[in-house]
Amino acid sequence: MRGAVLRGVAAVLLAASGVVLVRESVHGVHSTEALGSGSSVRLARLYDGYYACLSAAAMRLVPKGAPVEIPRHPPGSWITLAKAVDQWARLVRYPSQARVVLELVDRSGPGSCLGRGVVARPGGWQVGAAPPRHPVGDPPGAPVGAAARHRRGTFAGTLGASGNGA
Amino acid sequence: MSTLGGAVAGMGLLAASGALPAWRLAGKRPVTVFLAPLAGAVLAGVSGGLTVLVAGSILRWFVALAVAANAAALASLLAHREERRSAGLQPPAPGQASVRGYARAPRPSLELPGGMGSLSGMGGLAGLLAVVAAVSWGLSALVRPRIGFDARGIWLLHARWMLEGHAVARAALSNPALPFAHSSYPPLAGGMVALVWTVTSTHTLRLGEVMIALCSACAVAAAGCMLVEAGTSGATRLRAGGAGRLAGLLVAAVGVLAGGAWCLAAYGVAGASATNGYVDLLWSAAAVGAAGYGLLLPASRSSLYVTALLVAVAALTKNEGIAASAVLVVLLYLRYSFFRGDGFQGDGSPSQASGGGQVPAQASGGGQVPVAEPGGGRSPDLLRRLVPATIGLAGVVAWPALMLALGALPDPDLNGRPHGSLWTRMDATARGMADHLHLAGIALALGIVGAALLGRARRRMGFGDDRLVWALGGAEVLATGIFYVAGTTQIQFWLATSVDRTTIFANVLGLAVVGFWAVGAAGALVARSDTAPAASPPLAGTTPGVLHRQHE
Repeated sequence: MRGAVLRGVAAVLLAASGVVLVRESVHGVHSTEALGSGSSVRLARLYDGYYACLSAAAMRLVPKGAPVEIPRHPPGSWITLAKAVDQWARLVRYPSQARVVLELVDRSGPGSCLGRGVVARPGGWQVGAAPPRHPVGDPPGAPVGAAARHRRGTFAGTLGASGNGA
Repeated sequence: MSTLGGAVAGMGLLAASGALPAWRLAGKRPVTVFLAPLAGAVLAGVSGGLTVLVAGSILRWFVALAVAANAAALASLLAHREERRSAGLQPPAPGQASVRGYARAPRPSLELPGGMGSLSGMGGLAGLLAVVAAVSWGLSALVRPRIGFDARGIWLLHARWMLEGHAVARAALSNPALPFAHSSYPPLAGGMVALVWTVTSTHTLRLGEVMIALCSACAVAAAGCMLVEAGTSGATRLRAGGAGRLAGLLVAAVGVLAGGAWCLAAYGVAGASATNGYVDLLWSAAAVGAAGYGLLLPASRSSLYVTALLVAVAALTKNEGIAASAVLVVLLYLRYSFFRGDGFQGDGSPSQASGGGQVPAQASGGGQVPVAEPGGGRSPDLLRRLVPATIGLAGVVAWPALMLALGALPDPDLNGRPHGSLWTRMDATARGMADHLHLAGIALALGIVGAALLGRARRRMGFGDDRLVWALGGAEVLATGIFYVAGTTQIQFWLATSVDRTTIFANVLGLAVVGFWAVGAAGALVARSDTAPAASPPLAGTTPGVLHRQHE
């Protein structure tokens, strides 16, 4: 009798576990299906193309190897532009350490990236001056990407390739 | 090189460098297929870490470490073979288990009806196919070339630093211009991508995204194999206890189906973050696999090695993985000291359920060998086990300690003045996390019912105690919650952009527990009422107290 009850409990538990696993695996199938849909792929290409466009626009404004600062306000513009250029730009913390200050602005027409564009103004650091240092005496801002290599073309297709699904 | 070519070359490199160490650690079982590239990724991650910490380039470190790891694995294999030869033992014949230094024990017959081959072998193969099919489906989302926000600003940026070499990577650790980069995060993803970029000369973000997704898939598949092995080992125990062949086949089939379903479900839980260059699924799946092999599957030395490798993956991938791995190491120590796979044995006395400390043969992937608990029937040597546990714990927390010592930028989410009161943050965190933990909640409910009514039946199959797994999941959820509350980032924004990922681990861990209960319930359903391991055939020639080694 007790064995029959336990078998009944086991059957119920097996069924319940099976329902949970099947339900979640079906969710996983649909979730993956949606991610691979045409509209999702187009949106992803648009998203990566946006970053590639900003990166290319910024690249045209920054001399080879120059330290770059991006103002932190507004935060959304700062983080977007920083992520667009951080693979090749030598980012520093303060305008006084930078040769170029980059900003993200609204822009329409040719050269705009989905309604946004990049502008540059001179920073406080001049060519020939001592290398910029952090206020606390740390090493210069990390050259988080080799602008030189980029100029030679090694990175030329990096962001574009990511946007094109290469 | 195209992205596809780069990915094939990258995975080939990782798998080739990790194959021998993985095989030596795990033996011939389904999970080894996926552990090989993960072992290679661990080598790449350690190489990346050394590039940051010491000097040099990632490729040189990787070559040195890969040669050392493979030489050690080869030496261990040769020494082991010599040991066998001197003991006068031949390689085990099919259907026989081997026991170090003692006569081999015949395995219970696992032959399927109609000459279908052994249950463990066929079950392992079917499970391998099931998890490969499931993760392949999950990877099909890679047609979407989306580099995630954090992938771009954290993981692929770290890869770029490591690609540039020590000077750049070291300087980047403390560059205040890059607070969003979480420069102190562990080095596995960055190191692995930097290595593949170096070897293939294809420095694209897309290749980095694909490589992280492939490593995540390997971790998911490894965790899926854990459920497959639950089925095959449970089936073998039932057969040893006198259950019929069809009963064993049913239990093994449930394990195979649960493994495949878990993999698909993991992709559903992770959503877009599974394939957009994020690492949350990578560390979560590795930690779940580690929990399964270390805390739930029958205790064995090779399962412990699999656990150690998966712990290394989780701890080298993300800070949350470090927290989970640290708790896991403590729980492993507790399990191997106090909780046996066959029940609660706090005093080390022979278990009634297990028949004097002997655990019947488990079969998993055809290579699994019976387990006798270290010191079975004697008081556990707590101090002896404390040494590897302490070393493991030190290894897990080494990276954050080194980052602290090197003055890496503090986590930006913990820096500055907090937004909102403590109560506001606690309330928002509790609500935000609860909304994403429904799967873990369902699993907990099933686990409580199962443990109350079928716990004994499950213990007969050699599975570990659920309470350790719940302790792991609870500790990780608590740690994540404390991080949110103690952080400084605006809490609603923070939760909205991250809580779906920080709860992946708890949810997929819960689903793994559900999978174990499916196998346990199937075992209870088909087991003979008088079936108990004590009645199973003793392992001829085995000696209580001997730590049986696998893959002799």
